[in-house]
Amino acid sequence: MVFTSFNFLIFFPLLAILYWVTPAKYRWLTLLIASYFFYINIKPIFVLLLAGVTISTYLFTRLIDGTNEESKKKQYMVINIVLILLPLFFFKYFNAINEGIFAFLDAINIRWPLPEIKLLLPVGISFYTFLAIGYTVDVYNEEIEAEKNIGILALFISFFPLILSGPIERAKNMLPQFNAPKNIDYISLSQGLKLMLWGYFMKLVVADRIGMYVDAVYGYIPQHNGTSLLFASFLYPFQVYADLGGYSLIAIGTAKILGVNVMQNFKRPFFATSMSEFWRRWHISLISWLTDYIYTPLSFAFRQYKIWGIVIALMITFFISGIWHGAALTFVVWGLIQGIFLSIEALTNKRRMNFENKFNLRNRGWYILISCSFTFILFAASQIFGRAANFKDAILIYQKITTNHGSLYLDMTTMGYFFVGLIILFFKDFRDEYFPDKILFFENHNILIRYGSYLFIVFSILLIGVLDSSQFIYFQF
Amino acid sequence: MKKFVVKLLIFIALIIGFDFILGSIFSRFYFKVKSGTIFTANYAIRDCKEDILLLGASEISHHFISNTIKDSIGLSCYNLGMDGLNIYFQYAVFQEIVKRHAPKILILSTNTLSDAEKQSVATIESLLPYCERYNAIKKMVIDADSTEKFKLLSNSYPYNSLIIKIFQGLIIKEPKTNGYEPLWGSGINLRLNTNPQRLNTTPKSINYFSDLVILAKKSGCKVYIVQAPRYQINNSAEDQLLFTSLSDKHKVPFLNYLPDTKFTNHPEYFKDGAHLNNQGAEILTNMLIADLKKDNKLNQNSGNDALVQ
Repeated sequence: MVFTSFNFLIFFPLLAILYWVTPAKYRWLTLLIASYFFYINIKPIFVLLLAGVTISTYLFTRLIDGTNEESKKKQYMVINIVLILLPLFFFKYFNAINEGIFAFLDAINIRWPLPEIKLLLPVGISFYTFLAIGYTVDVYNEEIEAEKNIGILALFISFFPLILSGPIERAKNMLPQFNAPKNIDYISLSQGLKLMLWGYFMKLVVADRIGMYVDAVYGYIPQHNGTSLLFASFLYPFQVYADLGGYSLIAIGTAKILGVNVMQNFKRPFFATSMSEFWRRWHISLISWLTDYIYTPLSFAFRQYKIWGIVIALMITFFISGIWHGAALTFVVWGLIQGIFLSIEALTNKRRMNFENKFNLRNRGWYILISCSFTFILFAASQIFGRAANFKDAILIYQKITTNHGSLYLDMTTMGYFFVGLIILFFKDFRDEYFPDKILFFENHNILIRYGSYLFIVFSILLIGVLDSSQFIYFQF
Repeated sequence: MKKFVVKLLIFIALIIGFDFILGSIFSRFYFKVKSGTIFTANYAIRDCKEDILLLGASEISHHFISNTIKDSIGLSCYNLGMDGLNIYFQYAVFQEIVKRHAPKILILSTNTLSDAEKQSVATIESLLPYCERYNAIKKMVIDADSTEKFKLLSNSYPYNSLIIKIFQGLIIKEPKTNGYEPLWGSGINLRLNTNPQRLNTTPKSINYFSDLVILAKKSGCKVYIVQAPRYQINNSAEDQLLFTSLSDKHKVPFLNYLPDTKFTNHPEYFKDGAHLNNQGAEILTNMLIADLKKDNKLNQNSGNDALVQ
């Protein structure tokens, strides 16, 4: 069951009613049952894995909490992290390692031809594994106490709005909310519905429509020229933003209706004026997780190397980010490129700031525009590795973009629809970025404008959205 | 809480009201469209009265020149091929046609048997605007996807993703090609793909195919199953067996143009790997005409003549 499926539109209102009529003391149980029901509907067998990660995390964090010996605490933490990483490594990297070994054996002609086993990646495994690791480390660092109720912990790891694609939340934000649920309130319900509505717009009107064009080009690279590939490569970041950003808003809105506040995942990333700012606005929950649990400990460990310690920490962090996205060379290169961009910025940051201050550039419109455009181009160029099916294809795309120009592949119907969606999305983000209190629609005091804008978005989805229950991009990770 | 429920109910009422108004407006425009695939679908379901009908997807719409067939055989002809649509569409359309008219010849493409998810979704979507007026079509749509029963409660949902097509169709006039859509230019960058390509047939699609043939024969129509040529012969043996068995089972001729060497490896006749350009379509249409005439001669001898006017 995904957010865009018809089944979810039946499931969620029924659950919301059931949740709010359940006595506050047992609401966590309603949510836990609903979350497991939601997950079982995707692939029943993988529930065992989810339960296994939960039980292991519960037992080891209780052991960490129950001992005062630092070495034992560390030992329990490491054992749990290794245990919960095993399924992730097995399912995510099994195929890649297999193929690598087979390729090597083929190359030296000693491969025994046996039938291959292709493993299906359990949906959401990368997300709930990170949730469980974060919680284990937080308990070890004594930032939170180990949760005594295994049901509450199970709910934190399996909470259905977040399990498939995040946001990757933190235990210290979620556990208190599950333990002491809020009373039903008008503002949360209303805000939740508005977030869901805008999330559906982003996903169905913008992301899926752009996806039709991008897939048509990236799916047939040899048939397309560099101009079309360049255009599709510029569109792809918008597709990912609208897809994961839309998913996140639906998830946040869904949680809000159930009285649970979840962190923001995107903050108008294409208005970032540098790559470091971009990564503070893009997939915030993942980046803050990586910052807290990988980058900060690493930069502390490498502090004797000063600025170069930061560079090493950045490269390792984004290498891991790449690997987290997928067991393919393209993702490794994608991660390393981000690391290189951020390292260059870290090394030149002082000079850049001095230059900007000297000529008072930070408040000049043209400078902001150039900086935003440059940041976007860098990200879009790196995303070619994120989208291409393999490394060879990515190189072919770069080659074609630089050498093979021609007329743009036109699909007027698809382009017509996504331009409408993109313009609305851009306008909203532009307003939120520079004039947050002006030209209001959903928040307008005038009831006609407010309801008119809700209806406009509802009917945009109904009339120009892609309503075929397609998957979200991040489900594959 | 009361405030929220009241506002939510008002909002739902507004949605229902606007949905009804917008749906009615789009419905009115939809059935006035003068060109494109919507026109072809409308024409097929409401108006067509030609003697020879061609049913299938793009391998029909771009491959058979209706006017040439009409001129050579002397029977009116319409190409009802619709890009990317499968047997669900052809069966639904033909059910409506035979309610008011009995065509003499039906040319039915083997590709209609494909029940690949993407194709089936596109087919169902193309039938949605007719569900309100045509019960048989609505039944088929719901049979293909039971959730459509609930989705069709919305009046504007059937017109999802059709706004541009509707307005294009209102502005542009249909060329007088009787449904044939020529492709121009010859294929470049045609890649060799010798892996056998299997159609995603399902028991359901096979049943609908059989039902269509039975319905056509029952209405006195002579049916021909055709397989269009491709740039590469990469058909699967299983598919060929299925087409032959269907042809044998229903005792209808199977005109297989796929292995014809006139087309294989001749990029000058192709727009892309699966579609002939106008030059290729002319050759194929003439081959079909010759086959129809040949079959007619045989049938004349046996007293079963479909081409008698």
